Amino acid sequence: MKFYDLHIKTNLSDGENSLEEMVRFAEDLGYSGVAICDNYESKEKLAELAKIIKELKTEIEVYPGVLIQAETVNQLKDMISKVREKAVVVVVAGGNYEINRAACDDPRVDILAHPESGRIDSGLDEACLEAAAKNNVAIQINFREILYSFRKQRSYSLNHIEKNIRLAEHFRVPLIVCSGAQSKWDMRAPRELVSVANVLGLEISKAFLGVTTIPQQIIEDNMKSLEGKKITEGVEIVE
Amino acid sequence: MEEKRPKPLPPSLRGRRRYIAFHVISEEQILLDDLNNTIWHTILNFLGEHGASKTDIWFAKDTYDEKKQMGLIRCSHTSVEQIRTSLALIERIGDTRVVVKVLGISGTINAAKMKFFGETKLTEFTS
Repeated sequence: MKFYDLHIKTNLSDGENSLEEMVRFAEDLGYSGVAICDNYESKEKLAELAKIIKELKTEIEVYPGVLIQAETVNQLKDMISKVREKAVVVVVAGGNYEINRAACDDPRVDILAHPESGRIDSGLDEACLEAAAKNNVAIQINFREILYSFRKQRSYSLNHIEKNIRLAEHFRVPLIVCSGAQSKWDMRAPRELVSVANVLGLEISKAFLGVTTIPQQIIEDNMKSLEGKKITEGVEIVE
Repeated sequence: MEEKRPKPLPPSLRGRRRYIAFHVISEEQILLDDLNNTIWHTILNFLGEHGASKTDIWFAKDTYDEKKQMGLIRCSHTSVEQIRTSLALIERIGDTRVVVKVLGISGTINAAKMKFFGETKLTEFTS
């Protein structure tokens, strides 16, 4: 079984450890692939990331990704159109309701990360989830949100995540479990992330899909369209 | 005189248990007492007193190896996932940042030692 973590950060943005350290640690924990999702700053930074990944010698698969932290919907759309042709994984940092909604409405987005972050509600409603199911946007269960919150705040965020899981199951939105690590000490083994999702009310078999099949599918689809093999939904060039 | 203890229950009446083998990854050495305190602190914080009592948790202190940083935790068979989550929520012990990695689950201490710590039975050499 192949395990993936599609949301880890390095010291290219606000992470602590270098890309090599993060990848080595992921390898030790038993991952077979990771996506490096640093905050989007400029196209040059993205090119630099792709170059570092190419030079890196490692056993596991490493993909360039991007985390979009937008303040307005227009800014979000602008950023997505800039990065979609270059990054394998496009993650949108949620939290603001308008951003959550816009991310769910956009088929170019792969993952909506922590929609409940910094809110007093779960950040998603029926309209968002219907759109996410239609556009195949995965909702992310972010382990770091749980790890670095305490007491009252932690119980609130657990409650919101639980609510989002229940709703996502109802609307058949894909759920993905990521560590969201900013340092190598934030990373956890894939089976631990499955346990966290299971404790929050997701069936264990479905939680496994969130670290295996669903991320793998996202990567495969995006690699195909980046290589020009996939023209549109359902139309592919087969050799 | 040694205090009298109740007779051990027959196997059918004992609770069903699992042993979780774990490995603590850290840059500095982690001592037994610090680890024990942190595990209890995290579990009580995460599950509460009532929740912790239901997991039937016991830290097998004599199995913890301070050099290899590996050990065993016993819990009831229904609460394995909860204990796993609690272990994942440990981020530092004292001032040292750590990751607790679960090596696997087993039904007895002996099987866990052989499976995950690489111990061998003495009888295997004789046959």
